[in-house]
Amino acid sequence: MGKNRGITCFTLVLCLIIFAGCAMNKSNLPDLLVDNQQIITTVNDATLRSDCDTLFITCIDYRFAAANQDFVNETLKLKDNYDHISIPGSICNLVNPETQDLVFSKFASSVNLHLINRVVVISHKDCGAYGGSVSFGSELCEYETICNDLKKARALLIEKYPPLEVTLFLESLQQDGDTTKVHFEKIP
Amino acid sequence: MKNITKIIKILGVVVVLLFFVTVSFAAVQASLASEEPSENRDTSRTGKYSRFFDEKTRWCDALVITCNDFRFTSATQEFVNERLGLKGNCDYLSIPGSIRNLLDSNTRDIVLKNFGISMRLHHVKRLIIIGHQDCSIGYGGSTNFSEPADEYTTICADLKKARRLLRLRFPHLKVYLYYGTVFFKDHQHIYNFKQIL
Repeated sequence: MGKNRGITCFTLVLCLIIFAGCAMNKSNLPDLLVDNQQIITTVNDATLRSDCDTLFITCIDYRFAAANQDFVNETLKLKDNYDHISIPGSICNLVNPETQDLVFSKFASSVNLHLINRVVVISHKDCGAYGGSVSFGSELCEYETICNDLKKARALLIEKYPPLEVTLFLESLQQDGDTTKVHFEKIP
Repeated sequence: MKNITKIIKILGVVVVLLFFVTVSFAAVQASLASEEPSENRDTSRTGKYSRFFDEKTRWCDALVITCNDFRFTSATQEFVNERLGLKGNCDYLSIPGSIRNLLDSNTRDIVLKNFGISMRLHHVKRLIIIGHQDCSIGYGGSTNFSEPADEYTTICADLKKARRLLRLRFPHLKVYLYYGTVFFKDHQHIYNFKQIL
């Protein structure tokens, strides 16, 4: 009798734990059932590279991710020729002294491994890492702060790796009728 | 006498259960000890971002975590944008060594902070982690392994470990793992993305 009660108690507690665990999974999105996807790209032997020479640094933001990819592949014509590092706030963590060493060590691993001689850095307005546009107060203040950070990052990169060529861009969302376009501005 | 035996048996069961609960709780705490932000930092952050939330009406669906390797960038972009159908709807986090950074205790804090930014500011609901073959920065390349199967097993084990860690930290997220391979044949690069269950 006592043994039965023990087993019942144990089963009850186990069920409770399992149900509680299942209840924690609140996401109601459908599952992604995509497996064994093959992507085939034709290679032109004349342009085939065994190495890349560009490091491309952007923010992770979803509003700009697709535009960044088009910009680097089509506009800058660097397809298959760049290492893409994408971290929140782009160079925000590089300028911040607390995380500077760690971010630099990650950049260094790419620069040393792939003989990088050009860096393209893209920052954007209304960046979550800075707290969004609202945290600056005015548009001019936001523009100045991000440009200053970009230039600071360029100085830091050139100081560490003198032969690097660093190109800076600032992107922003522009409303054009119903569509939203991404505008890229080159920072001198 | 009979009652006492019963009580002792029930107590035994309760003690064993409590032991298991304590051990598992301690294990979770130990593995996440270094990742918990202090309360002060949390409140300041909420203040900093409170106005940021008011302005936004649309969020994104997923956070993609991948390696920065140039051989896989185009294929990964196509896989995420076209095959998974997440174009313009996912945060794209690309760091050297992909998930290796999460398992390394030196970089774990900053990586989890990065994930946290995506969770809090963009409300993502899915995580897609892509590891790949011949990862030089994370694993020292394919040459570091005796055979491809060995490499596959190691990277899959790491991906699964990362999934366990992330599930503990963000239990509401769905985590999907993929392993990318590439081979060269007849002037073509053939990429394959396999889902790890």
